[in-house]
Amino acid sequence: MIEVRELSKRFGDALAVDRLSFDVRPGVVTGFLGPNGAGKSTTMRLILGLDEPTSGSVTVARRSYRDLPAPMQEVGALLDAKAIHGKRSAHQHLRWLAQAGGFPRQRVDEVLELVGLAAVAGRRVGGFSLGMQQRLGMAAALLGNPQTLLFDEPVNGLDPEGVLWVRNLFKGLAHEGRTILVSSHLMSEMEETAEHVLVIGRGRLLADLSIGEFTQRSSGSHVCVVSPEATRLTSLLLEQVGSAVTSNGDGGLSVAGIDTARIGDIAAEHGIRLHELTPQRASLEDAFMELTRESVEYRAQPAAEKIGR
Amino acid sequence: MTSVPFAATAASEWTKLTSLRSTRIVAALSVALALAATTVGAILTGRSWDSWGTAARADFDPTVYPLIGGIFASILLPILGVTAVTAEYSTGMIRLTLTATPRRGRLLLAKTSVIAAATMLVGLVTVLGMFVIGQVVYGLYGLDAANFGDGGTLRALLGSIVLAPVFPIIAVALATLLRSTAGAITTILVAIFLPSIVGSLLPDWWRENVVAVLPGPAIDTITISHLTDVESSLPTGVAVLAVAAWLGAFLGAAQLAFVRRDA
Ligand SMILES: Nc1ncnc2c1ncn2[C@@H]1O[C@H](COP(=O)(O)OP(=O)(O)OP(=O)(O)O)[C@@H](O)[C@H]1O
Ligand SMILES: [Mg+2]
Repeated sequence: MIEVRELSKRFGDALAVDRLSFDVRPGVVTGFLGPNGAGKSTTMRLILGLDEPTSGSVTVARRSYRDLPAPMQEVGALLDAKAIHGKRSAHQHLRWLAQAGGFPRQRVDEVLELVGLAAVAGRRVGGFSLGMQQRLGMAAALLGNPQTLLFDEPVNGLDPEGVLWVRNLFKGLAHEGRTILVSSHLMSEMEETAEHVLVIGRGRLLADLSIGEFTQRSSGSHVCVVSPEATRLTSLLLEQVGSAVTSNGDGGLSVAGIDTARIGDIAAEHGIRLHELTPQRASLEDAFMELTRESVEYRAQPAAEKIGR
Repeated sequence: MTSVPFAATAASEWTKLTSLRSTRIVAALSVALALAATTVGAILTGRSWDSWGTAARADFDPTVYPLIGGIFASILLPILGVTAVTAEYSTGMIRLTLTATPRRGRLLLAKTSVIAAATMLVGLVTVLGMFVIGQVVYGLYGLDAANFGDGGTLRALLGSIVLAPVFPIIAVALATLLRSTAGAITTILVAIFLPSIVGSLLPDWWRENVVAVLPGPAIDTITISHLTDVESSLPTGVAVLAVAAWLGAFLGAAQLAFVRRDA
């Protein structure tokens, strides 16, 4: 359990984190989403006691991180997989970390095995691919078998097999009752992994919802209907429920603000035949874009404008 | 859940230090250059002895002269202290280190202890090696050799070994304050050499009251002032206090900065 309360962090003039309050609960994977510069990494550094908050507080297992008696047994973190000394071997790197946590040497071999790096344990980590460094970072985070895990953009650089592996690893860890916070700006990634999402933009909390709620709340949810009597159905829907209906020709309708069951019932009452009735859920990506549209800090110029100049 | 003992943090820092080849290279180079310089110096002394005047012969001390090679260790060993800190910042690994050990005071103490232990070990090998080489060469040329048993000799050798970590420890502190390899190495070299460069240019009062309490001259007072003339005429007890005060001041400042700053 991570508890963030009115947390703020200012760097000079810039407010990187702006009165954030949220809980990260055990048992589920929580996605931590936001566009570039939203403050995700800063929040994670504040949770880990690396940066001092300007105001507010954050606790892990009811203590501030710096006060944890055995921090690695409580929390594992992967912030930046590349931030390691390239001249040490994977084994040497994990060895000093294991010692810092007071863990036996064999634990190093166990986590190397777990992340699939046992065969390259003796090789210098500077020569590792980004994906291998990510795996090494996972191994480091898992050393102390911690109850709480933080990952800052962990799928960066992983191949499809690696992505799948990480996804299942996170789900498995959450299933064991652990608290998992994973940041990303790849919505599609979170859709597969996270059950809960926190969305931030410009340091502020924009949403704290389950994935389902998040998608539903998006205005993009609609139902796709195909019927040979589309015109009649349209007027009925407009009369009876006042829902927004747009026609896309050939008997195809897009209906918003009403679910498939109601549409089916209304059609049946009036003997209207339906050839298709499909809920079209907005993707998490769409919902996210909509939510953060206002707070994107580094927006690309539309291509046409750039070329025009 | 038991809390992590200090020994675990120190063991971790020891692994960090010794798992880098650059550490072994710097240590080996310190020993090799020091012993080589002492060998050459002792041979030159032996060969030219007959042409030495009475004053020069009176100045000669068979314990102090072989320690000349130690200058290489003095220059090289602080590099270990600097890079032990700055490599963490340049790679960004400091964040991982502080996630594992969020108690920063303890971390800095562990790093300092490990650097002290390693440089004292290198100091031990270097000092004993230089001494033995000196005595063997002097013996070959028929000069008076020193003896471990002499009280004065023992103080010089033990003092040189025990105080070998002083500049490396100051280097750890400077590196923590500056977080820059080049900046910290430059500063520590200035701290080592400035007293002997400017010392002779200053008026007596300054030399005796200011330069004398700087770490380098204070160390010389403790280790060799009873055998040969050194720059300062500080009482040994005051010199010990001065060295302790410098270590305390540098480490205290580093500690304050380290605990407060964002990683
Ligand atoms: N150490 C620092 N000094 C000054 N400004 C900083 C520092 N760290 C972060 N910032 C600023 O704070 C804001 C939030 O940055 P942060 O790295 O937390 O965002 P993020 O959500 O992790 O972004 P990304 O998705 O690009 O990783 C940015 O405007 C960034 O420039
Ligand atoms: Mg980030």
